[in-house]
Formats: sequence, structure tokens, C-alpha cells
Amino acid sequence: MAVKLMIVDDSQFMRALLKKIVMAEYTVVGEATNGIEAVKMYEKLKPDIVTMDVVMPKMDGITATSHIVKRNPDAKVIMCTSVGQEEKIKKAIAAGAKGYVNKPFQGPKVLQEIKSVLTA
Amino acid sequence: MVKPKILTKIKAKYIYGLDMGATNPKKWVLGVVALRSDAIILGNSGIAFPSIDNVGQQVPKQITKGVKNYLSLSHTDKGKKIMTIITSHPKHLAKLERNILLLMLHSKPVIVKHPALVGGAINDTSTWDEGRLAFLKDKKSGSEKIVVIKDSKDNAGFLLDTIESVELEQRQVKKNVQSVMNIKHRANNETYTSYLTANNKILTALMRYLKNHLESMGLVPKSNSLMSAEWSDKDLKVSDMEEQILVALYSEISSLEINTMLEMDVNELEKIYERLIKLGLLSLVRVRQEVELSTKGRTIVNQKMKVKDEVDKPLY
Repeated sequence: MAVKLMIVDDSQFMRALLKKIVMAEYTVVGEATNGIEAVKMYEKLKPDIVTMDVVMPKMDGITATSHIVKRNPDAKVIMCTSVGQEEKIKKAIAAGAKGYVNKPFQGPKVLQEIKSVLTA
Repeated sequence: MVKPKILTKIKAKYIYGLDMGATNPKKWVLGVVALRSDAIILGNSGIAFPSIDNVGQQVPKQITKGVKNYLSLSHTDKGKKIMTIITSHPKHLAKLERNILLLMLHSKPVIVKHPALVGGAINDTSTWDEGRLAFLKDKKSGSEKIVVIKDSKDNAGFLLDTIESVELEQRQVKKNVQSVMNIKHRANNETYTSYLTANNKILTALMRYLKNHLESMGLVPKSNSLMSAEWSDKDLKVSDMEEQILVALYSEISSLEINTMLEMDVNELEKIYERLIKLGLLSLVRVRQEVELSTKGRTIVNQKMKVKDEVDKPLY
């Protein structure tokens, strides 16, 4: 069965980029542009894995992750952070993120991280 | 006792032993600056390598008035912090600085985490390892290489030609937060980020060494900042669209698929590629031809399919 993936990022370009990277292996079931949308969309679509940007309007990725993980402790969320956001990575892990990639990223490494979080 | 070896000598003018913070002009001395394996000799004065605190600090304009290129050395003499300035032909100065930095850095202890990131993903298996700096030539490529000879595991190596950027930042190393050099480099078609730290003197000297190298190669713009050697937004004269294209290529999206991903006209994209090539941000790998069938080609395809259809036709 196809693995369902949800992309959360306020940048249309980053969403398009992530979609392009993952589309050969995963089904992108939804794209959210902020944390509030992400939480609602997660409830509705129940994706197998989520890629989550950190800095977003309305609700940031760390808060959204903690809301998602509260509803589903097994939720698999990968944070997409910018270089130098170590503190945010720590907070994201505390919020329940299972993996993280640094921007800019290389496509194969994103796929590798998704695979490793899915099989963990 | 082994007599120290003289490595290079240059004709230069120098001011030895300026008080730190001095602004009054002093007379330049014309003479020979000799680089020995243990010290820099300027006439009757010498600066032993262990006494050098910093290389390349800015000097007040009043002192360097009329001098375009100079190399400054901050050092300690009998407990007093002083500065020596040397001026010569830019090529000689660059070589002298490089050799001074190499002698300051050779075999010095560092701590390295290599690689900390691979292609943007965190490498969970890497640890902070102690080692010593060595500067070698890579056997395969002939390029200059910095190697950290580790006490424990495999050595960590960075080919200078593959370093994309270096930056100093505050980062946790074992239990302490300290200045760490973030080195982004390429190996085996992947981007690695490695962290390296040492005492301030070593870290500053290594930063200067790498910055000089990247600037001389034209890989980063010249700047006075010793905090980083990388492109800043100010230096980058690229549009948002061009930036997106660069990020997509970094993420290994095929250059032939970017127009579809960004929903843009292929001719417009090609123009952008041309500009980015001119700026030296892209390199041309291959020019592909876009083709369509001619009438003759269509006829041949129809004919071939007809023949194939007859051959493949079931017998019953």
C-alpha cells in the first residue's frame, strides 16, 4: 500500500521541491501552509509521515508537531530546519519529532531520512 | 641541537614591535624578512611562532598610510602584546602569510565531528574526536588537503578545492558551548558538513587560512570578516526565481525537470541558466537537443508498426 505523506511549509517553492523529491516513492496526500492547517489536515488525512517546516506563520512547526503527537503519539514527523537552528531541533525532538533534515537538503538524503523514520 | 631551517626570504619593509592600539606613524625599515621553521626573522628581531597570537589584524590607517598591502602579526614579547607589520609585493605577502599560518597550524590539536551532516541529514553516528592537523597533498587529485589525524578512528580529510563555505558559530562540544568552525564540503557527490574546534588561536588561524584559500580561488567574495567565508545576501545578485533554481539543483532535481516543477516557460529557464553559468554559479554539463518527428519520421514509424503488427499477429 502506498505510503501517505503530508508536506507542511509556508513556502510554495519548498512544498513543490519536497513534492518533487518524494513523489516517485510516496503519495503526497496533503500540503499545509501553517501549523494550524497542518494539525487540522493531519486529523483528516491521517498521513503515515509528515515533513514539517519550523518557522511558519500562525502556528510554528514545533507547536504543530506537539499538537499532532498529543493526538497520535505514534505520529511520524520529520522537521525541516535551517542550518544553525540546533535549539529548535532540540525543541522539536522534545515535541515529538522523529527525524530532521537541514535546509538546503539533497533529495536522496530526505528520502533516506523518511525511510529511516518509517522503519524505526 | 638542530639548527632551524630558513624556508623563505623576501625583501620587505617592516615596523617591528608597535604597541597595540598605537596610532602614531613609525618609520618603516627596509630589509629582509626570513621565515624559519621556528620563527620569523626581521633584521635583528625575531618572532617565535608560539608567541604569535593573531595574523592579519587590521592596523590603524595612520600607521599604514601610503601602504596598500600589508601583513600584521600580533605577538607577545616579554609579556607585552605588540604588533609587527610587513609590507612587500602582494604575491610575496600572500605566500609569507600562507606559510606562517601553515607553520602555526601544523600538528596542532583540534576536535572534529566528521561528518556531522550528510546532504542535510544529521549523521547520528558521528562523534567529537580528538586529533591533530596536517596539511597534505591528495594523491588522487593533487589538490591540497587538510587532514585531522585522529587519535581513535579514521582520519577526517577535507580537500580544499571542495570546501563550499566555512563559518564560525557557537555550538555545544561535549559539555561546553564554544566557537566551532562549520565546514561545508563535497565528497563522493554528496555535501558534508563537518564541525571543527580548537583553542581560539588555532581556530582563528585556520579560519584565516581557509578564508584566504577560498577567496584566492574566487569561491567566496573578499571580506574583512573572520567569522565566515561564504556568500552573503548582499554579495549574491540573484533574483528569487534564480535562488529557487539554485536550491532545486542543490536538492538534485534534474535541470531538465525544473521548468515543470516551477511551472515556468522552458525558454525563460534556459535564459536563467545562461545567466547563472555566466555568474559562475552553474557549470554546463551537456547541451541536449529537443526534437520532434518529421513527416518522414512519422511515415517510418507507421511502416515499422505495420510490419511489426503483421509479424506479431497470432496465427489463430
